[in-house]
Amino acid sequence: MKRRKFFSGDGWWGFVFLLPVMIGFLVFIAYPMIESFRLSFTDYAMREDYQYVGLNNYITAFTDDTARTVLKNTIIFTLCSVPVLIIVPVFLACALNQKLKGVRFFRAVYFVPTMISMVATGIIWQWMFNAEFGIVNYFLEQIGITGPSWLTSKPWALIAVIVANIWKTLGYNMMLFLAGLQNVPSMYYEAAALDGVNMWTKFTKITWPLLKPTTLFVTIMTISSSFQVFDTIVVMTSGGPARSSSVLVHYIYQCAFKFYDMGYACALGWLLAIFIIIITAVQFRANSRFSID
Amino acid sequence: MNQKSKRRISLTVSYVVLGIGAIIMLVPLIWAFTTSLKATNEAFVYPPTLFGKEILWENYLRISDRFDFLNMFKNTALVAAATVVLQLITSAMAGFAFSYLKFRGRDKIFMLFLFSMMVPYHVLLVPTFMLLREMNLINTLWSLILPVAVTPFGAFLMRQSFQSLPSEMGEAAKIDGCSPWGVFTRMYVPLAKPALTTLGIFSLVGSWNDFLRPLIYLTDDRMMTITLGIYNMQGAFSTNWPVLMCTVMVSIIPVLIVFLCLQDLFVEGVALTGMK
Amino acid sequence: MKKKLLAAVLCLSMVMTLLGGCGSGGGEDAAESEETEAASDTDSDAAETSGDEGPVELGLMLWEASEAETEPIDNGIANYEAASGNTVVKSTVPWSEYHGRLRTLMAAGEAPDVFWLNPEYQIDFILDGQLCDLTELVQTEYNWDDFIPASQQKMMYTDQNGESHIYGIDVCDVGTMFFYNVDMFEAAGYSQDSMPLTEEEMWTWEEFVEIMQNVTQYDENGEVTVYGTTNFEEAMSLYSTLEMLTSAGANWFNDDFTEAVGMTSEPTIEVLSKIKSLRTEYGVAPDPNVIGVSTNLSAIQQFANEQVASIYIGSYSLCELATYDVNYDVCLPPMITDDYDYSPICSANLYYVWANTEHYDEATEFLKYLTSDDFGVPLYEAGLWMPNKLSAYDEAVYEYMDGDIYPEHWDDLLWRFTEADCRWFDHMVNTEQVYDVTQYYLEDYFYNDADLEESLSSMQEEVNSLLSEVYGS
Repeated sequence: MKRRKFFSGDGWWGFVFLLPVMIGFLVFIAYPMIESFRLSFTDYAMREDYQYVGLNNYITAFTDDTARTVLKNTIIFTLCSVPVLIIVPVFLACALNQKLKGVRFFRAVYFVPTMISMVATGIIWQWMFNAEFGIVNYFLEQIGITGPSWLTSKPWALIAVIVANIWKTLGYNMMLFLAGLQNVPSMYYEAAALDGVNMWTKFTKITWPLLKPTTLFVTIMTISSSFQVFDTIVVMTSGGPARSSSVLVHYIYQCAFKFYDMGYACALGWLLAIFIIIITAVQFRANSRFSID
Repeated sequence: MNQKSKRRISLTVSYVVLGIGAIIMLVPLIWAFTTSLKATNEAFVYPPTLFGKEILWENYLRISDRFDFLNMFKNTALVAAATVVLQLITSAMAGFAFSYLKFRGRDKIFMLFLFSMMVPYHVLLVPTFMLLREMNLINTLWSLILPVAVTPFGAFLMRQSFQSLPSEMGEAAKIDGCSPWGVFTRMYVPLAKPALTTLGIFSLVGSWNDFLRPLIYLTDDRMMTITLGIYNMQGAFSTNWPVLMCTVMVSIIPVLIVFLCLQDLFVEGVALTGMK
Repeated sequence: MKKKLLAAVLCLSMVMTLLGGCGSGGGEDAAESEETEAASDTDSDAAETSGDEGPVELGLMLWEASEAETEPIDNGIANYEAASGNTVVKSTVPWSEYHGRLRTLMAAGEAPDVFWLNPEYQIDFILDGQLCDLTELVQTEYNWDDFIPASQQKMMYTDQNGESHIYGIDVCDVGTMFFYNVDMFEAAGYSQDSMPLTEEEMWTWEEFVEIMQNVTQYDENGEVTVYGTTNFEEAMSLYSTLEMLTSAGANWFNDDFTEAVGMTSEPTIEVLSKIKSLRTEYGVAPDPNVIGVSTNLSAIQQFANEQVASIYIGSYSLCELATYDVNYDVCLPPMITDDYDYSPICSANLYYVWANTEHYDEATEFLKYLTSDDFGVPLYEAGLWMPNKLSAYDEAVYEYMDGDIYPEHWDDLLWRFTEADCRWFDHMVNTEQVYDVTQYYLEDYFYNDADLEESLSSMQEEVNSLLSEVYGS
């Protein structure tokens, strides 16, 4: 950890202000990170004796069928959730951004799911997706569709989890977009109104481009968090049937706490971290290439 | 089409869209609520009914039948309170250091913070567990508080918020001989109320709903938190769904209340998250 | 002003956490600084080394299968505490997290003194040296010959050198029973007295399918309103499935359970495809909503709500069924294949003492209490567990059988407990992973229509590689 104490300029104060934070960071974040990195090169199985196995865990990760399945599921999960979680909230935020009555009401309503724990979300949606008594299938019946047995079939189990996750995260993203919209100076809109521009053009030429920073942020956050969905899956489907709704983090957890293969779990965790970083970096790059102003 | 009717159309469409969305957001919760008031056998009927034959408010009293719910509530509240306070303090201080103060390596350290947000925390659980064990903190509430007392996300949030404050303000104070601590406490923090509120609420929600950490770090019933209690109520072979829904409802309420009270500040604060 | 407020809140939260946060864990960090400070060196249990040094605190860890278990267990513990003066700290862990938690605690040196385990997990812990050898205790303080064979089989562990040890002691047994809804069966023309109670009377598969079709009820649109049966398809735990496989002559493992050999056998294929056909071909079984361990709508609840007319499930269900209004009784399950030799299965959790406990004497005393009749009787009476002693089946068991809970023909089937064997999986190693594999392939077959023979053959391969990790190949 490189931190040069620089007693001239603000260095001393920097030290003071950062001290408690750095202690916490070093002890509870940096150390576990380093330790888990170290363990990823071992075959640690929660016992006293373990050995270093070099890159074995990492190599296994690429040949492990289960790892491949869960990675595939994770990617599907992300690809399905993220677009919905970007596009819908943007429109909702636009709608909400006008001078409507009941803004506070709507904001609260949309945000409530975010505040519920993922466990509670999983329980509620598990109940709703119940093939025999759940209201999802009941509503589908009403419009003439026989709902599938959601949590016990492929691919519906994964879809059910995706739906639950979207429900939970939608409001949060909407809030972020709303905030972003409010940062758009209203003079742009006024000018557009004077020019007689229609709504669609207003959106595409003014709103959307100016929302870029927000969109970037939301996309990164959403992708990152959708790669880490765990609680809901454990509660709703336990990753089944036959692993069709299990994602990478769930598998990592199982390796660590059910199969006691800590070394492997750590390796997978680091691979995931690298993956997320690469995606984030790519997004930053893409964003700066297309940014205006 | 003139301006006024354009606006009216757009307003109507907006109301409709928002309304539909709001219903979708609320239906699961309403459904959970009505289930919580049913008798066990009435929860399993098809077609589903909104209310059972009787409304059983007594179900709420049965929450504590198997687990001491009040105790869980207390545990969760304590942990949440301590976590929020600690996170606010450390994040504000860090955010200040990363924005107002200038010193070598400042931005590099900040990058390090951001980087750490990418690593899935599940992987850190076991090393942290071992660490906590060395400190004899396993099965105490501190094990839920200390590891998260410092949050890179919080530091990030506060930095953004402080950066949006005009730097002339701080410069002026410096010239006047005010120490950074003074600037911090008398100028920056008061002005950052929205961001602090936002962070506070995220902090509260994160702590209140934490599942994996209590699962792994707490080993006896007396220390359980609410989320763990809810999970535990799903028995291996049978689950009393209505009472389970009661527990879920009750777990939501405190956070909901806090949010509703602080809604406006919260929204202001959200505006400051990562616009760079 | 702000600073004072901040300081006040900080102090307040510190005080609150101090007051509330004390756990059975060790030192509290009372310092001003929010960061870490190694707490004092007190070890986690409040007590000192074992011996007569005053009241001792014992840790007990278990899971709860259903609501009905909580009270009898708590009462039992309270009785022990009153009698011995020691305190028991109970830790309830959800089943799905149980072994992970136990293993983590053991790795941390903080495992509870006494805990439950299902026998199928015991060998992993034995090989790890985490369990106290209780052979002598059992030989001196228990009547070994009185244990029913299934209990003996699961308690007795024979290692690779042929030596036998006992690590866990059980207090109960659970076996699968075929529960049926008396009213519905009578309405379909099957009187209670005509239901099979001896092996000669057992239904053939064809008879069973016909009965199921008659018992299943439809509405005017041809939609099923009441299914004939459920829980034949299990992907987890495999209680009824194992019973059916064993009875059909399938044998998935070799004699000392070091290798998986017969998973692709004809009887296996026949049994599994017939189980599945109840749902897919005949439409008499619903889509099981049991995935993994957390039950969406348990089979028991479906039966209790009269949405299925019968159910093939563990005897522990009795306890919960009794709380509903349904009129139930029991009989023997059907024969699945032509060559069916009914071999009932029994199993249940055992109690163990942690090898590194600091209170061996107190822990074993507590263990003796937990496996005594005093403790077991309320649970037998509640219909949750069946006794595990032959002597109990001679006379005493009839005292437990409360007519409100135990149905009319239960005592005709008591022999299926006293003559039962334990499950193949009770001898398993690397059990979590083996179950993961079997669950995967069975679910794939049942719900994703994977090819059965391929699935079974892959399953066998993977299980063998897991077994060879322990036994070498």
